[in-house]
Amino acid sequence: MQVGGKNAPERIPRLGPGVDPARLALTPAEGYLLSRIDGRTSWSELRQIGGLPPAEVERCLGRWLSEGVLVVSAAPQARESKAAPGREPAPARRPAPSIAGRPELDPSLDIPLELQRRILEFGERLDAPYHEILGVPRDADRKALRHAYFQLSKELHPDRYFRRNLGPFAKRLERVFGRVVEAYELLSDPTARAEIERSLAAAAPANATPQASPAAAAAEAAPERAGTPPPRRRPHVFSVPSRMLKERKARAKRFFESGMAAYGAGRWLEAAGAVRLAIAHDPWNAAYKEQFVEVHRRAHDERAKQLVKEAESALELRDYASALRSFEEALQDRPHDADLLRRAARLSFASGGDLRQAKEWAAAAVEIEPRDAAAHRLLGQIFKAAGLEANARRELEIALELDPKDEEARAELRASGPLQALRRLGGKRWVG
Amino acid sequence: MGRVIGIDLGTTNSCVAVVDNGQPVVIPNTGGYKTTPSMFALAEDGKRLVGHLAKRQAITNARNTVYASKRLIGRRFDSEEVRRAIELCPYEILEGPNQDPRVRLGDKVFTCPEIAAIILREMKRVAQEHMGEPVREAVITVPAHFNDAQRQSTKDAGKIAGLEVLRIINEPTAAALAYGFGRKPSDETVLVYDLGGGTFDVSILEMGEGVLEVLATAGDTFLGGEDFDRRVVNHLLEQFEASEGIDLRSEPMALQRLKDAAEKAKCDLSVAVQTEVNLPFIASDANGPRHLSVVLQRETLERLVVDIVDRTMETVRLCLADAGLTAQQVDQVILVGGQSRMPLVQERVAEFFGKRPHKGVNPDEVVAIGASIQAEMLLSQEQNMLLLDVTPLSLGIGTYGGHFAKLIERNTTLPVRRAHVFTTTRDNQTAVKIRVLQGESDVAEENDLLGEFILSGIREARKGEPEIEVSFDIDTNGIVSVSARDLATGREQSITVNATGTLSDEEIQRIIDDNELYEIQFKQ
Repeated sequence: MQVGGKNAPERIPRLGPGVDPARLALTPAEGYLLSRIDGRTSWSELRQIGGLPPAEVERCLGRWLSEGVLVVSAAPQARESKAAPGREPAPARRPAPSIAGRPELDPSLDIPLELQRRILEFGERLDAPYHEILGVPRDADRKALRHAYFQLSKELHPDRYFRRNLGPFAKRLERVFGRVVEAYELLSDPTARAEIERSLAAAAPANATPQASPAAAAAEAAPERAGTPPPRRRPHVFSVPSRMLKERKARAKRFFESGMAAYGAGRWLEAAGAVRLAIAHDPWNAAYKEQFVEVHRRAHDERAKQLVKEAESALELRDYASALRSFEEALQDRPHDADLLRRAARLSFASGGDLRQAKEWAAAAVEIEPRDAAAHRLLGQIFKAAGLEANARRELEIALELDPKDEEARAELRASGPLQALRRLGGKRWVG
Repeated sequence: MGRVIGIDLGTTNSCVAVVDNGQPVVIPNTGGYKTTPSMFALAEDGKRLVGHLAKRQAITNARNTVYASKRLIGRRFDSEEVRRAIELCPYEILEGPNQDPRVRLGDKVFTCPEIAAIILREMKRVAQEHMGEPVREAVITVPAHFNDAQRQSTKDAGKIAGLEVLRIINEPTAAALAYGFGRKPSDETVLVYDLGGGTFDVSILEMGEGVLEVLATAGDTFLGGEDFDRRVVNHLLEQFEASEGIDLRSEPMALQRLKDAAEKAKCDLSVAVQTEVNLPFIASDANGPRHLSVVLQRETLERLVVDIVDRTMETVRLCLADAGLTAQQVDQVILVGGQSRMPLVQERVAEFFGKRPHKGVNPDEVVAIGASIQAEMLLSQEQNMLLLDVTPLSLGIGTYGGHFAKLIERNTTLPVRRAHVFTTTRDNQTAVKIRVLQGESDVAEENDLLGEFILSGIREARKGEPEIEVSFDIDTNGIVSVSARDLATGREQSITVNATGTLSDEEIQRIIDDNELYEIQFKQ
């Protein structure tokens, strides 16, 4: 259903005289489409950017036209249009193009306004489900995926606009293309796709249930229903069509609930993953973030606990290297666990591991637990092995002070003196 | 606007092409050859010799003739490859201030980008003479598995040669572009087997609807035609030692002659089943002069190198696995690089895939042709072809405990940008150090260090509180850049990743200036 021939002027729909969009009964999607009608965007552009399948846009616009909601006028001659895809569209003396509604549009750039608009619209849909990004049905096969991906690449790959002045659109284009790649790669990977499918399925039933507060939902939908574009651009996040926003929030809630269930059952790793997904879908919900801190901590603790167990069983088998590795990994989850730090340091020191690393761990343990005599003693011993006599003495003295009964520290301190042999050994391994 | 050339900057030979009236053509040099040896020499009288001239005098002037410097470019002086080169090359390699290998010729020390620039300048000259117009821009190819430092150095070389490098593209990808050019747009899965002088690459691409998508790429840095030569040289050395009792290993001139003869014999054996190596007066002792005369069978050669060929098939297997394909799903195998002419290679490939490799491309010229096509694709109005290439190596950072955290996996489509939030590990910490690494090992140390930087000016806070977002970008040249932002203040940190093994901007400028002086001298 092509609108006019190549050279025919573009049809520009605008609101009919005296039409009050607020009085129309519209779905949010229709409201969104109506909000795109600004008296400057052409019929064919609307087909692309209306947020609905082109045929649907066509049907809607046709209906509104017949109902008198819209009237149509011809585009001014000098307008950007598909008919003139020139590489450099006559930079000088171009009549000021219509850029109202989108202050980002910049006629001085090297790409048509239509494309700029497309990039902006695309950029706002980046949070949509992956199949929507590619514009394919959810059950699209590999061939259809690839076709969509190739077509979008031809349109949106930065190489297409090599050496052109894209201004801020260069970054936008890169982001959009990056998302297209991501969508294609994930949907082409059976495992990832199954995961995506699961999360979509999980979100679907929640979608049908009403949102938390009807007032909030109404507030969200209101600007869309107003039909005409608001005087100023709203911040990025709110330009997501409310339908999608709702879907995302519902999905987020779903994730959050399953996360909390897992949390209740003590499956912390799973819980952390689910809450993280919830936040990704609904970053505006402070409660999720709050909860995440706790879940996250428990998940880390859990992992660290497992790793420590692994380390302990490795120790029983005298597999010091594995034990050390497990301790190290556990430390990634609990970098401030003094006990863990001290055990790792002692093992590394005793098994002839990296002395510098041992020192760092021991020093961190001391920093966290400044009253832990054993940690000070260990640090002192490590210093001593490294030939840093003064440091060693200081730590051993602190250890003795904290625990006068620490005979080991006392013995070390007594033995320490001008021990040339130790200094020689240590100096080589690391120099403070 | 001048036309853009495509240059295949090879380990042993280089080649230049341009798209002329919509058709890519290889430009022959003044001697009529379509490829030019990637050699550079400083003659006794201080004259600079490039290409065939340099090769012709290489034997008599071995110490002042550089070949295969591509093996050194962008590497660290302490790397395995440089160590090997020092053992084998008759020219002197020394350590530069950026831990980069440099070459001493006469009393002048050259950086590797500088040597590459001399070859590039020669290719530019060849093109200019042929087209009768100045050339300022080029697309240059590199092995697919080149890392960031190697790509950056190659780009620097272009700059030194007075060329604006529009794009650095991967050699096997270029070959696939040449294969796909002008072909009817049908869906095909293509595997490029690129066995050049010093490098080996495999890439798998999917073609269709005017798009070339690289699915996976794999390579072996330590494998190329020169390894075949080395096996032959060793064989000849052993033969000679056995019959004459003389070890020629410490004789640079004899070694150079042997190397040349080995290469020639190897090429002969691609068409003949036996050949003769004759090197009169290769040595002498108390009993007078000695001659080397050996008959070499193709079978002998194959026995000497069969393990190398098998190693290439390992890389092919790895690449197929990365692409998630089986050998049967590959529609077309394209052989690239001079060494792929060897019958044994062709047999093994045919055996593996169950089909004969594609015959339609010239393995020595196809890469340069592809580069010129890429230039045309970028600049042309119609743009009916698009290339989607990938990064060959994973990119990430070194983390606590010597681990490597991958942020961008290998075979990710370019351009790509990944952001990651970092935080502090101590209270009131105001700086963090980030080590950017490239490679596949989980152990940080075993990967290439691209550079490290210190992110300073972090506001004082409790440990774990500050959020610093660090973005890693790989552009369509495969070149990495890093930027950082303090999420709390929104302050951008400008970061320069000081890659070891590459040159600073000042150094490049100095070399450009030096070379310009030289240019003036030369023309008078």
